[in-house]
Amino acid sequence: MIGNAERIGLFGRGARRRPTKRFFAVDGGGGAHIVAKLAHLKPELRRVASPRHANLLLIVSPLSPMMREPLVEIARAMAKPSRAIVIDTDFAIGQVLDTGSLLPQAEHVSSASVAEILRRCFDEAIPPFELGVASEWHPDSLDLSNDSTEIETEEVVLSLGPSQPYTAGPLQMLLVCDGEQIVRAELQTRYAYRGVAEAMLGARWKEAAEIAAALDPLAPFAGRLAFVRAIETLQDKALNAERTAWRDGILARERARNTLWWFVRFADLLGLSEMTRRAHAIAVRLDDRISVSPGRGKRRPRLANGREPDISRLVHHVETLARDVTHDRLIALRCKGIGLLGVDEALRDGISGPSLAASRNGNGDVHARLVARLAAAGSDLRNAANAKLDVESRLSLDGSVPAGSVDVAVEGPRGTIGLTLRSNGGECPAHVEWRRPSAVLLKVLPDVLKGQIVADAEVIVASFDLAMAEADA
Amino acid sequence: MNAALTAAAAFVMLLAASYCVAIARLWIAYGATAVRSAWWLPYAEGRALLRQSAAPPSGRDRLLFASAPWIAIMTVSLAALVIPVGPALVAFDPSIGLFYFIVVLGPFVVAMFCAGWSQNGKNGLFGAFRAAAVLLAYEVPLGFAAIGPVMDAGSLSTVRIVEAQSSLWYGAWQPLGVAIYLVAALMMSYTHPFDIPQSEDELGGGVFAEYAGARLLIFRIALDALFALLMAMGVVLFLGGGDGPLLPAPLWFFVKIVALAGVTLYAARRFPRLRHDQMLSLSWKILLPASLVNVAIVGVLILVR
Repeated sequence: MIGNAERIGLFGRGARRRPTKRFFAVDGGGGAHIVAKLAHLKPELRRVASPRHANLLLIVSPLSPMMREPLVEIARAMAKPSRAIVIDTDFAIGQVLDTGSLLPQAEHVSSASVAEILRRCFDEAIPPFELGVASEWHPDSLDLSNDSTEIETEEVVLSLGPSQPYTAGPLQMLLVCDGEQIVRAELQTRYAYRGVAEAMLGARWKEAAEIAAALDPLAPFAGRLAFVRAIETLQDKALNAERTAWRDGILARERARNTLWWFVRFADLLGLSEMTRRAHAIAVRLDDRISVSPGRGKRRPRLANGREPDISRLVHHVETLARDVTHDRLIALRCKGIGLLGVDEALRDGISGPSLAASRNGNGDVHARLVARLAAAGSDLRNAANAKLDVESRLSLDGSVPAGSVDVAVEGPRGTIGLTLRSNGGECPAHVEWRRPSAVLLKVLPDVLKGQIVADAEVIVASFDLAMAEADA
Repeated sequence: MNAALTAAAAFVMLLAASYCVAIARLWIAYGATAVRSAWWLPYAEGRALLRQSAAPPSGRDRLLFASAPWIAIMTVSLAALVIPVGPALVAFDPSIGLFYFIVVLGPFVVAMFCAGWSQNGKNGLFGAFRAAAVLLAYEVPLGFAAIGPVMDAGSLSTVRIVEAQSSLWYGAWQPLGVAIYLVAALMMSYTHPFDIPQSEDELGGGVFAEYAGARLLIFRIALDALFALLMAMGVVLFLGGGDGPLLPAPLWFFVKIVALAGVTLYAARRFPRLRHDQMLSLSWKILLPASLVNVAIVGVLILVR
């Protein structure tokens, strides 16, 4: 009975003209927004959580070479026939997995056009993939020594990930559970490692700026701005107020855009279909109105029609959404009191951005982080609406870089992105060190998860909005 | 022979209602974008699943893994026998019809547990235990909510319960019972916000994590049919069965099922997915006391009348 509907001729041609796709997404770190966008655009294209339920494998490149074995395992688990599409982003920086050798039949498509991705998803001319290699993956686990002779419950290790929907990019969580309660949590972060800082050391200044934009593919402007600001400081270059305001406006808009897409994923995790739809509609409108530069920050974000968009209405929608979420008792019932992060702990570990604000202004639980993020998104979008973004300005590097060392910080979507840059006066950076907000959050996550229950783990992890590409650990 | 034909008609109606439930789920999840495509999408998805095959998980319990979807669909089919589609249109009318319905639906959780247990995977195992925990949440409130109509009708026969509502539907004077029944029905059918055993994101599909192709399709049909069946029993208990003007009784019955299912799913959409401990709290701290209050109110009203 399995897989023989074609042979026994159960169905006619009508349904063949109306294909339906269930996709499983493998995101290397830069595809969270695209995947969230695709998952709610059309009911014919639905995201599923198990590769066995999918007939389409969406891979958002670049993937770290560490993802090779998990990717093979996922492809092997998928039902047959299934097709694969690789969405190429502009962030193939550092060490990158060659997906073409693993899945030669996979169709490649650029991330720039969602319409084109959609078309390819339903393109029946794409051949089903055949996996040319065997899986040799032995997932990480933990040894549990049980030397007690007393009668007690048995602990189990629950492995979640590395490809999962709670974070932007791959993260494997190993949860030692006593029943549903998490006794201990360990994180395997290496699946997103691309070595961005190392790649910058061997690059010329202008190339290094491109690589800096790839630090967080979801917030390319922030990474590039940190690098450009560091060089401008070394060059002792003064900026006029107009350019500074332009930069702040673009940065604020990037933060708001990230938060909106994060909320789409978060609301989807909670099963809040109405909230998901609302947030998706707002995020799509923001994306539609602003044709964001293809990622490396060469060009400033510009409008599809060449004019500055009227985002004041979007500001209103975001603020209404934030207000509704804040006062929704049902959301509070689900999110309050879990995933607590105290303000002292947050300050001690160097946490910044909305996660710190949630601990400062609220009680540091999931609900406080949710409220803090949405409030920040509303305020960011309002700032962006008030800023003059239509001035001719760009993030570019001019002149040589003198010797010296500098520390700069830029407020990214997940917190403060810090950069320590040293120049010997040569063609390349002599030392690059990033301080990445997601990496800091990853450090505190095991402590936050300890004592929680498994059903809350996904919500807690998602509330931190971790960008694994940016963590680059 | 007549009983067999009626049973077949009830089963077809159940499948049609479950198809409508699948459409309603899409409308609620996607809103206006799904208004047109939702009509054919469940059919297209079913077709796509039938065309697929997947290597079953290694180390599985072959018998339980293969039989779980069939246990689920058989359970729903057997329980559907006591649903009176119209006057004299019932396949099986025992004097303990309602009791039969609740008892026969019990093994559905066995199907869920077998599915999760047999996969030889921890995701499925966690889903299986959650499914069992849900059983503790819904069983008692569901039974107590159904007692109200039984008290007035003086019978457990589903046909008698429908006949007793010829003057006034029980839903009109037992609104608390309706509310408790619908919440318990959502729990029993693992429907959002009580769908944590399936845990689509958290455990990669939970009890269904390793199912694919036709077996997954059977499970999905069984789940939608279970929800439709519980709505059908809701119509029998509280909305007068097939009672209604102009239209034939089976058509009225079908319309009522779809309407009740639509309203229930629409109301449930605002809730975030609840944890199993929150479900148990809801059940034992709110639904159970409320259902006892409902029984007391119904008793007093019957005495006063």
